[in-house]
Amino acid sequence: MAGYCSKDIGSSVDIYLDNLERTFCQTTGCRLNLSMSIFSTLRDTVIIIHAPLGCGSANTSFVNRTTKFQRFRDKDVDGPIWISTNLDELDSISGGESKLEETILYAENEFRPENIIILNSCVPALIGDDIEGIISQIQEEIEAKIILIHCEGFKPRKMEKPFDSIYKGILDNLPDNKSKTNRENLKVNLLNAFQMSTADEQELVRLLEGIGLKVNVSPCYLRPSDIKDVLDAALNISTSNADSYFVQYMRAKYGIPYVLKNMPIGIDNTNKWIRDIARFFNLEERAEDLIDKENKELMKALKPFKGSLAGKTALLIGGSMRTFAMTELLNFLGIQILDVNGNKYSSFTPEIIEELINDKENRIFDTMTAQSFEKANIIERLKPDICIGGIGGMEHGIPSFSVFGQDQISMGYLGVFEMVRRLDRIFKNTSFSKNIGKNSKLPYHREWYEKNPFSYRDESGKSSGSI
Amino acid sequence: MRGFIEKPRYLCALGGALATIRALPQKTIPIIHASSGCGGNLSAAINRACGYAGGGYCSGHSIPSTNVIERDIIFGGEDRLREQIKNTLEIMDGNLYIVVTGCMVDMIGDDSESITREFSDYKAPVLFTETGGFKGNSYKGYDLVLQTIFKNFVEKTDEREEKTVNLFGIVPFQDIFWEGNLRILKELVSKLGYKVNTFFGEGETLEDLKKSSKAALNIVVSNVFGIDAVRVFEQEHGVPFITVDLPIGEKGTERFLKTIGKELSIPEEKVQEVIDEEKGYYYRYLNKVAGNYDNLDFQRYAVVVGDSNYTQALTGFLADDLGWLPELVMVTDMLDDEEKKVVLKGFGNYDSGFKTNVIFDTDSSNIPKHLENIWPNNNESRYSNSFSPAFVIGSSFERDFAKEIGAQHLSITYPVTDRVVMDRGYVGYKGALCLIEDIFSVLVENR
Repeated sequence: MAGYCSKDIGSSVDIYLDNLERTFCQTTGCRLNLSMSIFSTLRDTVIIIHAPLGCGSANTSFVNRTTKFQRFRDKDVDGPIWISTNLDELDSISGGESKLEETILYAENEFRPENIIILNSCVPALIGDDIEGIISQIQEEIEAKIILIHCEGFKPRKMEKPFDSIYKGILDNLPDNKSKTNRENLKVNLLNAFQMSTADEQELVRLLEGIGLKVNVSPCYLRPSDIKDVLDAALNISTSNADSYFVQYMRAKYGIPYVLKNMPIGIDNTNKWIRDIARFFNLEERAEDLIDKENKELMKALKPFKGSLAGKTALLIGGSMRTFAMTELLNFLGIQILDVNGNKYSSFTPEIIEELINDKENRIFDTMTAQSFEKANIIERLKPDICIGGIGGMEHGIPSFSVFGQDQISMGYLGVFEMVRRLDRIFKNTSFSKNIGKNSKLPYHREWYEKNPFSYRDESGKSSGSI
Repeated sequence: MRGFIEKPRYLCALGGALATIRALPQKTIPIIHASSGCGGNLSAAINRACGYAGGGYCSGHSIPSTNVIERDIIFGGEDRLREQIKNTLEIMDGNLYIVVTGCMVDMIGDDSESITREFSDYKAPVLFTETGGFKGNSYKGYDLVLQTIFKNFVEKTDEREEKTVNLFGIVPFQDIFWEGNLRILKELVSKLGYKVNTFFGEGETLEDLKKSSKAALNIVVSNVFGIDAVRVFEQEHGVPFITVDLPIGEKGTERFLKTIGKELSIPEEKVQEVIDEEKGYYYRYLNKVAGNYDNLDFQRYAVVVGDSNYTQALTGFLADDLGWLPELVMVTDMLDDEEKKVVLKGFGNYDSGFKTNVIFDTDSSNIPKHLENIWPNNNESRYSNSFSPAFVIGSSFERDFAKEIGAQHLSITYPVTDRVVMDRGYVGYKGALCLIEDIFSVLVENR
């Protein structure tokens, strides 16, 4: 990659991010998409999307899956309900307030939910709907608790921001005071705001319980009224920098400390993750026993797979903590990493990188986002054996390995085993991607592949095309 | 003013536009002028809620988008659009580019059309359609893109090709089986001696689209979708149009062929020849499973849920071809009173004499209530005349409803997340065989 790297991550990560603008962009996601994914997991809740019809429509593609995961917790649930206020052209001029009001009353009378969550979008923000006003007026008339989440798609640039607004919605509805929590109660919150799958969650709960902790998983898939249980815990455990706002707030307001250092993906990372938590509760001994037993068992299970993957090359693509965490497992397997692309940085990131990667002098990072055209260019140059993290290898004839999916497991020791098993399985037969690679064409001019993959990044600050 | 919609089964106008552009042939590339999430969100719906087959050339996260942010909303997004179009032409390999817009840039008054016009000298056409999501649903987006193409891409001509017709009304991705359906209809009308342009789907070219103004007739296979667009076609190019019902199965397809035959003054014998041939094929296969229909009791009560095209076609097919009892139909389109009247006409006069109950309702969770209304006291006692054995044909939304009433279920209308759909089509005679295969396969799935 010499000559094509953008910037090494050292200091000033946040400053660099502010300049991450492009003069050519491809579509990605927005706060509302993410909010929809997360809030639709909550049970006994109606979501009102205050927007034109299309906002949040990706939900049609995963509603049945969300229902399935909700039923792991409660087999009788009906699945997510969402209502679009269906703002039309006339509303965009005259305002959507009456439609919102009508929708809230319908949600209350028809579904009698515990909570009504309103996701506010670009259009009402531009019209200037007085949503807070409507809520404070209508709240007195109905039983469901109304929670407002601002998710105007044009507002945030970094992907962490949506999580902030989501957590803010949750925090605003917690009581103001709580008595001091004693760490002897051994209660912890394991935070899952959609960053881990159900299988991940089950594995991490198994490990935490293995050292004697009582685990409250929050907030995904809960009943809204159960979220206040987070206040009973002595420690917040996060696996993702998406939780940074929440854990900091909880520490400042309620005095609940947190652990947020790395993602338990990979063997050492999982060991470290357990140790950090155990230290807080003085459970080091129990932790070492567990780690020792688990590591031995895992190593034995991995033995048949290890040799087959050594020497392969990989390109890492995706969100920072997860991506960086993957480096450990790949190193362990002897898979050579050609480039590391993380798409999310926050002030937490440098520490995380310090934690995860010791030889950063020798490795090139670039802040590639979900921008497919840059990805295509880089894959074409590097021609890895596998693309790990996001998608993107198929049309190049290269298999891809997704590190995260709601139906997959990547965390804890079981996550290591299952990922290794999957990697091994993928390499056993790569015919499908080879066939597609030979018989498809990506939508770029040939000349694009000859250019620097970062040619359309604009650090002048003039362009606004954002990630 | 249209009210709220619970679990809508369509996207916004921008979503419909993107799906329509996705279906155009030969490297057609959309350029979205909107926030970063519009394209991503809509593409997820187009890809994963349409039988997982919305990928391919310039789809999903490959779609160029200005990804406007607050600064552009305050100061205007025109410069950003100009920059994005210029660089899209530089990077993305297309034969046709279409700029589409989201709500927020339409609201702030960006003159996106003028910016697009600056690129009129580019070697490939760069068109513009204002598709702010609030303009309507997917069907509106389909209509708007077609209107733009008819006005600004289809060539003006005085020439007429008497043996060419254009076919519209099957909305890509909202009809999940659009590609297979278009192939079958094209094959059928071709048998009447006509060249058929379907614009989307197998073997179509941009060149055919450009020259579609020479056609003798526009056939709209819908009573509501694409009507405004063919009106524009008529104004711009003088080609008249007819509307026909979406045909599934023997009865529907015979009506379809006869209507078109009459409109094009094709000799009746010629039309009958095609009908006989297709019917022969249909019954050759249907006869093979017919014995089992009685032995295994394949007759069912049915509920049909979905858009006006499919509900009409499926209900007619169930009532008149399969001898089923489709007691309840829920049409989920956003329709005005006039449109409802027109749509309702498609649900009567069954040869079987069967009478169904048609409900217009956009809100997905209301289906159980409607069934309760037409079939009260279901399963209340040992000797109740319950709604069983039953089958639900709708979307993947109806899976749980079917389970609750003890019915079997097949997803056909949008959204479909529990099936993968590729070149399958359900229209005509051959498509109906495919449909029978799929329905009967569900009936025997536990054997």
